[in-house]
Amino acid sequence: MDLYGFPAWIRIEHWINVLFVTLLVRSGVEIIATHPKLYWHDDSRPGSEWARFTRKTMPRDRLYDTLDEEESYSPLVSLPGRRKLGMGRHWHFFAAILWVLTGAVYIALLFATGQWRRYVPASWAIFPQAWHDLVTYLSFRLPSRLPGEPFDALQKLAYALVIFVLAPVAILTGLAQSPAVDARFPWYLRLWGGRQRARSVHFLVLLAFLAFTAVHLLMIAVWGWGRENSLMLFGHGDAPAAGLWVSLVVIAAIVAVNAAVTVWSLRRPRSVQRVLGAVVTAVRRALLRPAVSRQRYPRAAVSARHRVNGRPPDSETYKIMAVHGFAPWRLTVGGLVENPLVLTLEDLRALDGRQSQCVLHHCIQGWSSVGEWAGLPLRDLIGLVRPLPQARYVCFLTMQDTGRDEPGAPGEGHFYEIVDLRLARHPQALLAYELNGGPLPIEHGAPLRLRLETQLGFKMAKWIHDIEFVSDYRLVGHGMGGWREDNVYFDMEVEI
Amino acid sequence: MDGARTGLSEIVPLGDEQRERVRARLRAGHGACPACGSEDLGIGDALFLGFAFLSEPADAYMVGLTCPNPSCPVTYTGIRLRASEFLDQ
Ligand SMILES: [Zn+2]
Repeated sequence: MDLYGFPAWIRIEHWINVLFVTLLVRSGVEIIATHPKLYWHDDSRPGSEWARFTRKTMPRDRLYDTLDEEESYSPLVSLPGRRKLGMGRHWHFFAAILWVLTGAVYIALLFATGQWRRYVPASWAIFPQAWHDLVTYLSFRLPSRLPGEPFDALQKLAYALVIFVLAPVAILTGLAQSPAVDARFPWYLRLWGGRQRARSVHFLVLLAFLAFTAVHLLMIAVWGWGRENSLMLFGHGDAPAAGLWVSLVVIAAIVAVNAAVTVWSLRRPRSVQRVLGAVVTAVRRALLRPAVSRQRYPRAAVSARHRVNGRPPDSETYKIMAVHGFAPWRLTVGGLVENPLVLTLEDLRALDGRQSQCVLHHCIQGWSSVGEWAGLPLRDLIGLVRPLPQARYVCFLTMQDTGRDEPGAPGEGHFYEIVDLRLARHPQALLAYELNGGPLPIEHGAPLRLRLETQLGFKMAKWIHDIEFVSDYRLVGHGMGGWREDNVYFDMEVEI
Repeated sequence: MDGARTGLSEIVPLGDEQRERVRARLRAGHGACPACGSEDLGIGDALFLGFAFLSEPADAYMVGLTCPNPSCPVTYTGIRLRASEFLDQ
């Protein structure tokens, strides 16, 4: 006699959970496709990966960037597939929010109803029992269930592991990859041993979930697919035939939802970006937007070779500027300001308030590097130009012409990114002209790039030549808040 | 070159002999300032282009040229050269 049974909420939670886990796994695969390498160390040094899911090799005598390392996976395994990181991220975070809420309700009900006892072992004796059960399974026999319980000892331990260990570790290592969390709570990232360790553990949790699911399905088949599904669908094991058929219908529905959202994402990415983005942005604003960077890495942590993304402006003008140490370069600062400015690199260097910060760079693709950046705090520039009351956003225009400089990228036009004034006033919002004690290298955005330490790397425009204060980001480009938002459907605010 | 070896396209300072070779190149071609026609252009450093710029051949450099004429509208220019044209072999 099973004292616990399968109350309706357990059954409903189970099937909702299946749906969200399929969305999370597939969108997670999309995200890892964008940098299909796993590291233990936060410099993500090329060649130091402990696992790779790509056969691509990179040139040694030419600049390559991490966009060249991206893989395109099939929509059968990733959501939506075909190298659509922006879409994968929207689905991953949207599903994660709903999955965490589902999980919170589940845990609350487990403890409110006393059902937690079905998973939490009452004594250490469960370990030798579980071992005994394993041996029984391996000799192709079925062990007996624990007295008065729905599971045998091995099953009980496996469920406890998934619910109370794997799921929380998945959530916590996911958060440990957020630039805002890591910038605000550097100790939290240290707890995991760095962003790359957190990312690697996040992946290992995925493997554990997949292994659990495979064994779970096998067990259901062994114990009787119809009867077990009858329990999980109707709350009793008396209708195995209906259990079989209805389970197939439910699984078909889950597959259909996956197919539908895949097609939606591939055909109407802008609509997915707007709809899911609204939900994710609301949660992100409430939880992560208030974070302010408190990073102060030791000099010793600086990566020997800071990875790069994006290619420098391939123009005659830029090359001539570069060979002259950017003496001909001018920064124009204008738009909705009282005091528009034109500055040379010398002017910028001569301004008081030079600030340096040794920080972890979080790329949207998953890699990271540590660097010490120095330059002019953005708030100082804001103070000099005095924005008008209607100015709400700052637009950073760059010399990179994506159609010319990034031939593989989807989209054209000059690269730009927009941030709101609040973020621009963060203490570590910096216009950097130095990296690791030397002039900013060309690959890293010379002569001037942005640093926003609670954000992902793509927001930190490189090769800047113009800064405009505007009232509304929707008036610029395709109106999504930046070149990547416009063309590859990333979110405008990227605290995760 | 340095740039290729370190994986960065840094500036390569030129020695006297290398500057002479650049000057010879300038004399052979149109060695005057494109904006004002001044002939005595100052020769600066070289920038390795072959690593970071997609469109450039693997041995391409830009050598900085500065116009001495104070009223010239375009003080800073450059000449694109191959390594074999001005660097030591
Ligand atoms: Zn001239």
